[in-house]
This record gives sequence, structure tokens and C-alpha cells, in this order.
Amino acid sequence: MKILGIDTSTKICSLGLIEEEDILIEYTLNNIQKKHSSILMPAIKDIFEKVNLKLQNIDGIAVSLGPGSFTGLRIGLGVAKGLSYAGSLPLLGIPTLDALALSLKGMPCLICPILDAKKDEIYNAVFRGENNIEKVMDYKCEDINSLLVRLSPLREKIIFIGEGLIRYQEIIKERIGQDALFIEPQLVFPRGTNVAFLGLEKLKMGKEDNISTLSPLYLRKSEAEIAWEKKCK
Amino acid sequence: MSDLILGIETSCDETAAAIVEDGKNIISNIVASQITFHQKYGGVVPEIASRKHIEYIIPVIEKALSTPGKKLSDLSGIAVTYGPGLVGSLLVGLSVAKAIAYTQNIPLIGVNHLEAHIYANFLERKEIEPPFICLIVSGGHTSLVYIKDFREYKFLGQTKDDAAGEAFDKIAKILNLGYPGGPIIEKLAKKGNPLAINFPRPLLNNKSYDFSFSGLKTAVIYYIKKTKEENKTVQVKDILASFQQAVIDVLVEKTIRAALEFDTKKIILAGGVAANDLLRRSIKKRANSLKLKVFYPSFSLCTDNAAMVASVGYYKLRENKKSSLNLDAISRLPLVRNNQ
Ligand SMILES: [Zn+2]
Repeated sequence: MKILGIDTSTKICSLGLIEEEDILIEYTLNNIQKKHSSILMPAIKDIFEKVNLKLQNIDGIAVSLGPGSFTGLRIGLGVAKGLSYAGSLPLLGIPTLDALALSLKGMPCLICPILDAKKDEIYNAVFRGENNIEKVMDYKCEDINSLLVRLSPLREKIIFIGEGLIRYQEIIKERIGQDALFIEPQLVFPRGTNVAFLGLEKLKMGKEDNISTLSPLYLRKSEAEIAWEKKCK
Repeated sequence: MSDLILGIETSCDETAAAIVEDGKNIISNIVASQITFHQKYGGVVPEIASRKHIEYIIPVIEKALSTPGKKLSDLSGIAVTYGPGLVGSLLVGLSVAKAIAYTQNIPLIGVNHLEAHIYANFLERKEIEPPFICLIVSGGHTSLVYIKDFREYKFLGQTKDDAAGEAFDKIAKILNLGYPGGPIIEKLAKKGNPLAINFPRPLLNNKSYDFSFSGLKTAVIYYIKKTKEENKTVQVKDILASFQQAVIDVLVEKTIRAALEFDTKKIILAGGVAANDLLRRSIKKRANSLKLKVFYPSFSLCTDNAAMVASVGYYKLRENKKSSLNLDAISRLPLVRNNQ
């Protein structure tokens, strides 16, 4: 089975087209200007042409659901919904942090992907990845302190990955020193290929998503809702 | 063979899809309104609008296609609004439209939302021929355009601050009347005296075709505050009637002046505020005395919809004006067309 994976959750635009355990083609653009909307669709067209396949030849569309940039997530999901609808293909939503953690599958320790959520907060989750990627602490949007308070009693080796390290690696090192390991952010980033692999797994379990109701995993309310709740308290 | 165009519109808080045949026959016209989600904030919240669009977009498109029993493979093209509007909202419709156009291997046609409002008139009145002056007025825009022919538009002016409909919304919010403010104020103002308070008519005597409603809004808010402080009993309906009259006086005066300057015999209205009955009656009254004709769409085509987008898409496709898959959303997309 062949799956297209799309990730536009960060400023990286990444696509992967896989067939079972093989990568057919991968595309990654470090999209500094955040112009996902102009880049994504031409890139999809391009990779299909390169491998001489048509959308009709594949078995499903997997898309990164977040957490991440709200607008980026909606561009990816909008395109994925359009492809899935017009191509009558299964739609498979994959949490971004699961796809990130997949990069370290096989590691005999905890895996903690962190993404910068701005406003002094990070998106994170904790996984165990020895056999399969298994989530042991749920997706959260919080400040680095709150995460470290939860992690320090574990007294276990934790590998940190993701672009959140650019800003937070030093703080983590200071607080949980010898238990923390780091992989440079440019080596492990959200990849469309990982999204596709997890999508394939999901499809084989018969767990395709509802194309109408599938929404990004925002983990954070809109500013207006937050202000409204404060006012009502 | 007739040409079927699927139109997609997500520039503000309506998720809309429509199928239009040959640019003028509406086959289906589906609009999912989000008003209830924005009501308590007294205006459209961009992030909430974007979140609702990504949930509504596929069901709305499915409904537009299922109503007449048409298939995606019957389409000749997909027209989509790419500006002006809220970028996050525009991007949802645009992303879905691109993916469908690519999958079906049919042209993508990017449409200017303001141009679409103008074309809403031709969906019902096929006989309207340029030249004419068009007043586009809604919660998001207040613009005057001279349309010499379908290939040449001259943008005459627009609001420098609040759109006319926005001023209605903000005053309704101050008085806790609800959202959207236009229809509520219009209803209450009917019983009020429009001459009760002499509110300013911003830029009325200015030679330009620009508008400004922020100062008027502030004057109304100040008036409400002052009467409260002085414990004066002033009827809210009189304030609203006087405010509405001030807005309409400016809109009518500038539109008539443009029609006279450019020597057109026709005026068309477009946008949500074009549904305001007093505006329609006032402009008709002035126009009749000058032997000018006034046209406006029925209510459902005044407010944001995708049929008007599909209609523009059809005519652009005939001129072979297709868009490429790298089309981006532009929040302040200007309305210009040159005779090329
Ligand atoms: Zn509009």
C-alpha cells in the first residue's frame, strides 16, 4: 500500500510518499517565510510526477494534525481533505508529536518531543519507543517549568527532540542534568514520511478518520476565548 | 455543453460553496453561517472563524454537489476567493480548492471577493450592462467602483477606517443589542426619529470618493455616554435612527455624485448593507429624480455566498485567466482591472 504523508505543523514543509516500509520519495523545505500555502500543492504535484504516479494510484492521505502553527496545520489539513474527498481516499490524521517520536523508535528510554508554542510555552508529550511508539504522558501546552516538574521525579533517561530545544536545551540540562539526552533539532524534525508510516499503520487497523469532522489538535484556545473566560470568572 | 463551476468562499465567517452554470444559472448555493459562534464577542473572531471553516468546508461542498446530483467530474473549473478577507479563513477554502482542482485535473480560478459581490447582481438580472457605478458596502468593505465595461474597473475610493457595516456592529455591541448589528439597528431605527440628533456626516463634502465611519461611530458612543451621565432620557431608537441616517446620507451622496461625474445611467449596490431597506429606498429616490436606475441583488445574494464567486470564475475562465497551484491568500487584495 502507498500513502502520502503531509506535515506543515512548523515552518518546515515536509512530504513523504511511502510504499509499505519503503520511502519512494521525500521532500523537505525549510520554509522560513511560512508560505506553506504557495508551496504545498505544487510540491505534491511535483513529487507525484517524479515517481511517475498519480493520486489515484495511492491508498491513503496521512496528515500531521498538530500541535503546531494553527495556520500551517489548517493548510495541510485543508489540502489533505481536498485530496481525500476528490480522490475518494482514506484520510488519516496523525499527531505531530507521535510522528516526531517515531524517528527514535527502538530507543530503550523515554522520548520527549518539544515544539516551541510561542508565548513562553511548549507543546510536548512523552513516549516509550522500545517496540512501538507508545504515549505515556499526554499532549500538553505548558511552560518549560511545568514539564520539568513532571519529568524530574521519573529518574529515567529521557531523549529530547524537536525545535523547542533551540530555546530550552540549556534549561533542561540545568534542571535534570544526567538524565537528559539531546538530539540536534536539525537532525530530527517533523517529516511527512513519518506521518505516512503512522498513517499506514492506522489504515491497516481500519481506523480512518471522518473527512468532515477531522480537526487539528490545537491544544490551545483562541485568544478571544481565553480573554472571554477570564472576563467571566 | 454547459459549463459548471464550483465556487468556494471562506473570506470571513460564512463557509460557502455553490454550483453555477454558464456564469448565471444557480444550480446550488450553500452557506453555513457561523454567527452563533461569534455573537458573544460582538464581532468576527478570526481564529474561531478559521477553526469553523476547516470543520464545515467538506460538508458544505458535498451538499452543494449533492443537491442537484452533480458529480465532481461534471465540473469545468473551481473558483475560489483568495482575497480580500481574513487570511486564515481564506487559506482553508483555497487549500481545499487547490487539492480538488489538482485531483480532478480542472482549472483553478482565483477570484477577488469584491468583484464577486458586483457579479451577484448579474446572477438575477442578466440584462444589466455596463457602464455603471457600484457601491460595495458590508461589514468588511465600503468601496465605490466605476465599471466602464467588464474588462475595465476604476477603483474610486473606499473607507479609510471602519466599513459601514462594521460601524453598525460596533454600536450594536456598545448598546448590547446583539450581533450582527445591521439588521437589529435597522429594525429598531424604523420606529425612531432620524432627525432627532444631528450626527456628523464624515467626508460628505470632501471631493474624494473615500469614506470614514470611525469618527461617526465615536460621536454616537460619546453621545450615549453623555446622555447617561446627564441622566437625560433619550430614546435609543432615536439615536439609532439618527446614526443610520448619517451613514446612509454619506453613502447615497457619494454614489450619486460618482454616477453624475462618470455620466453613467446605472447604479448597482452590492454587499450585506445593500440589504438595508432605507439605503435602497433613499438611493432610489435620489436616482429617480435624476433619471438614474438602481439595481441590487436579493437578500441572500447580498451577503457572502459562493454563487457570486462561481459566476466571476466562469467569466475569467472564458478569458483563460486561470490561477496556478501556488496562488496565495491576500488579505488586502485591491480591486483593479485594466483593459488588456
Ligand atoms: Zn463580502
